[in-house]
Amino acid sequence: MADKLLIRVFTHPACSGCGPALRMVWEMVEQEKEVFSLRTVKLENKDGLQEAYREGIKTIPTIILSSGEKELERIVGSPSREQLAAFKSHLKR
Amino acid sequence: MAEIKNCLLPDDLYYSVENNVWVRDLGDGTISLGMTDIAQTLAGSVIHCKPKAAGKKVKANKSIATVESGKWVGPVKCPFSGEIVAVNEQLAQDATILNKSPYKEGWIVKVRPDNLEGDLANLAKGADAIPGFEAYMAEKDLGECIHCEGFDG
Repeated sequence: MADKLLIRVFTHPACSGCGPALRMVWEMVEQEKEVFSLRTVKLENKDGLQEAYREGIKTIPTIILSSGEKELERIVGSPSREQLAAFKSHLKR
Repeated sequence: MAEIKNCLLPDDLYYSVENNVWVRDLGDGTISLGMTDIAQTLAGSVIHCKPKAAGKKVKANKSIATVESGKWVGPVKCPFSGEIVAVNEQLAQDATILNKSPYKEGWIVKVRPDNLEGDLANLAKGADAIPGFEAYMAEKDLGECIHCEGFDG
């Protein structure tokens, strides 16, 4: 079985849009557990902040879909359901 | 708007790099003062902000407020002496305003400096503050400012 696609959600407690964004992603991942995995990257932690710097993130929430080392898609700001649904298009490739 | 590593420094403001605060000349002999984008980024999510009361005298480079965040508690210092003439009461309700809008809604106090013109002359204005903040960010190991969606400068 192929590796799951990883979704990372970059968040911070001071970000009012981060909680709703994380919840939306979580709901989608719950429905597609076989193919997606979810990781929350918390910018209040030093490791999380360093990861955000490495990824060139300037605004949160940011959501990154990746397969292995390859970034497939990135959503900057609060996602729409349509944007998240578009992540599923990568499952057919 | 001057920018350094995604940290914003509005052109019309004066900056005290060592205190990491901005100062706005209000044109009536008073100034407003707050944390820079760099300061709010370093502090992280601010939980409480307790300014000193209006009417209090402050000395140069002494605290005008205590700020507590998830990872830091410390003073916000005024670069010059004077009298606090107003405090931002909104911060008592929601201190994260300092994160969301450090330069607009997030002013902390208004001060009537003892020597406004002389004091402002000692601060860097707008982009002139970039070299100082560049060194400051390097010293603090701060890579970049990262803003929440809806950040209002």
